[in-house]
Amino acid sequence: MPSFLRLSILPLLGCLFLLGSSIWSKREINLRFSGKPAEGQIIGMVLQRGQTADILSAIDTSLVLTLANGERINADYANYELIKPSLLPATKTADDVSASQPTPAIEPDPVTPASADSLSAALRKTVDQVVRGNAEIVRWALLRESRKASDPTRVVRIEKTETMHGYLDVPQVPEVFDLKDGKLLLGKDGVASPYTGKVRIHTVFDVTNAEVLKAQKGDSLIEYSYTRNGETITPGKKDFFLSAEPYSTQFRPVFAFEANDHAVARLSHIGRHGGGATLALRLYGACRVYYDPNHPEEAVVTAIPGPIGDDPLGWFSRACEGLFGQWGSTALIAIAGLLFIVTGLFFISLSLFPPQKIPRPEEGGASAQQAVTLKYSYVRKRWSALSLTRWFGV
Amino acid sequence: MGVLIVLWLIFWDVGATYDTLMMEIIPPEQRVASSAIGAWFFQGIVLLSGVVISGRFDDVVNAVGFTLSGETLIYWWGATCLFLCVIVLLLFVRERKPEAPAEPVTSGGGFTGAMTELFAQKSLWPVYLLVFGTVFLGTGLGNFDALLIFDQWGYSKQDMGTNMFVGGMMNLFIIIPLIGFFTSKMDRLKMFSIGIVGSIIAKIAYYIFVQFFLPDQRPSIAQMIIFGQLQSAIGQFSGIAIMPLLFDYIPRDKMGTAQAGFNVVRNVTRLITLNGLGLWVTLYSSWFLPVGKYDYFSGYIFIIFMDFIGLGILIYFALKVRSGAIKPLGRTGFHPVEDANGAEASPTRTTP
Repeated sequence: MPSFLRLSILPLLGCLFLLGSSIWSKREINLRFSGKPAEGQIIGMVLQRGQTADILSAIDTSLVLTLANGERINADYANYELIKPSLLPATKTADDVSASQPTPAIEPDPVTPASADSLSAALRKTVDQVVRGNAEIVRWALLRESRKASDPTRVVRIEKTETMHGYLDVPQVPEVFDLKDGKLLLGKDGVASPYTGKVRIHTVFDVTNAEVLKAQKGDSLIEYSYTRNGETITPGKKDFFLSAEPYSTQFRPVFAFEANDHAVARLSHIGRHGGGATLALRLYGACRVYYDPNHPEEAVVTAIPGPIGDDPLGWFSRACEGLFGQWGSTALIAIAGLLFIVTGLFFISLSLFPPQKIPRPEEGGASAQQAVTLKYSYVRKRWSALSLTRWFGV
Repeated sequence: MGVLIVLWLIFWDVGATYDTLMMEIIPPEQRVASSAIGAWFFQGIVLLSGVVISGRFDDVVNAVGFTLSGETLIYWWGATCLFLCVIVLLLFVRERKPEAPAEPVTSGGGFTGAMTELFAQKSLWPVYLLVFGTVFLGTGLGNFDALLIFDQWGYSKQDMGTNMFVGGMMNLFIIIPLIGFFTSKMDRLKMFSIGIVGSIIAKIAYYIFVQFFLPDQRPSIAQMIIFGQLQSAIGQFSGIAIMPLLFDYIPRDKMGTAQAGFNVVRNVTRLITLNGLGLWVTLYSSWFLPVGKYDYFSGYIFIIFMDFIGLGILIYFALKVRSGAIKPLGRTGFHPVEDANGAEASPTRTTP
């Protein structure tokens, strides 16, 4: 093969990969760099299983935490936001709070200021984790609490009920949804969808009964029920709605934003397997949207990693997942292209500036072993020149 | 799938001759340097993997009419890297023909003959012993490591990527250069021993910390990084020393045979340790956890036990080296460059 042809194969392949990456993400690249930015929110989740899908449009969560001293903490959440100031020890009443806070507003933080005062930081953390967490998070929370054996305010029982509202067994998921009062609609022009449905999951985690706990080998889950439109079923995993699915289920967020004074809701082009709890595009979390002003339904969602706060590693994970969840495939195709190009350029440089030729024995040169050592001598000199060995100190 | 995995392992094993070819070319005095540079490049890949690749496994991208899962993407990425290697080999690598044809196998044909050829040579027994010990010492959680982080501790794959990235950065810019600097004059066996003993202590410390000090027996990402880095930093000593150390004891004319032999020893031993680990985790989980749940972290008990067996073998090996019963034939048999020009040189020139 002619030398120039041999040397041009790698750079050519590299350029093809680079071209491929730009074709693969053409739409997203165009929207990201020439689209109009807008603040958005993840307002729903599509669970695609084979030919049908469930579409989550709202989720209610009810928590009852029982402390070792018998007090109970009640909390009701809508879409992971506290809907009433009931996050209180059972010894207080909702009226007590109403007196001190006449118009309780829904706060972005799941714990309202009034209730936050009545709870320790550790307990607040537990409650916040349990609201969004899967069954394993609840188990860990109870395990952590059980280590505080002498603390009367440790949590010993958690009752969590999750009710998912939306559309079940939908055969065809649209790319663009209608919205009413910020809520996803499947039917067009206000027509009720025949797929409207509800899933309710009720769980009780309890560590008060040592015998039961021992019989279950430490598993604190003592009650579990999963009803789908009123019918009790047994899911693959005894877990909450977004975690009970088999790995093959694909989770795709639905995001909403304002464009030209109209609310638009669209299915994201990125999704994931293995549960809906993504680090970057969290359900009911904020996101950034880039859309085509002429066709607002043409939009792409990007994650907002949020503030670094006191968890820089967590922030880094969120930032990486947000960035590469969106651009990871594009980046890998491009990196592959660059690898081909750099390797190709390396061989071109060797061709332009060839190394010292070592004559073969039949050409009057050294024997094979000697040739190897001679050749290595050359490499060693090169290394020395590059000071690599000095950099490494070896 | 099973057939594909077996094929992959067969070809991977054939590719193991890469180390032999490298060590054949690199003079003994520069093998540690080469190993350190190799480790440095490897950490570069770990960084890329940590930031971009690991966290993509569960992702799905729907674009230009296709649905591309992260799992598929990662396999294609691996295939592309192999494709690059194949192209480089096809276009730019030519092996020089041997001066004389290889000696015929004297131990007969068939499987028995091949095995006899590998294991009848006494000069290679110390190498096999060392490999046998290093496999015990290198027993890790394997695939259970990912299951431990995702399934048992509930972290995402991106969290694991962050763990790898931060650890990789420290290795790349601090640990490996520092180890390279401090070990430039260190005896390889001593360097390897420091790595092994330190690594065992770090593993025991990690196990005790997670099992008995953490309230939910679940370390944070920062704690995983701290202990992981501790193990990794100490383990770099043994990691960088192992290949040069092995080849110190292989006569130059038996590198191919030795490579084949220690591949057999390594794979058989690894088969035992990996299956042992799986059985241990299953057994331990059946004792202490509900049906269907696994305590992958219990694998650390098995690993530490294997480490002690490996340590015993290493101590035996070191004592034999000290007594002179095992000789570094790979170093004494290497002729320095001056030989080629007929210049005088010490045939036993040995530098760390």
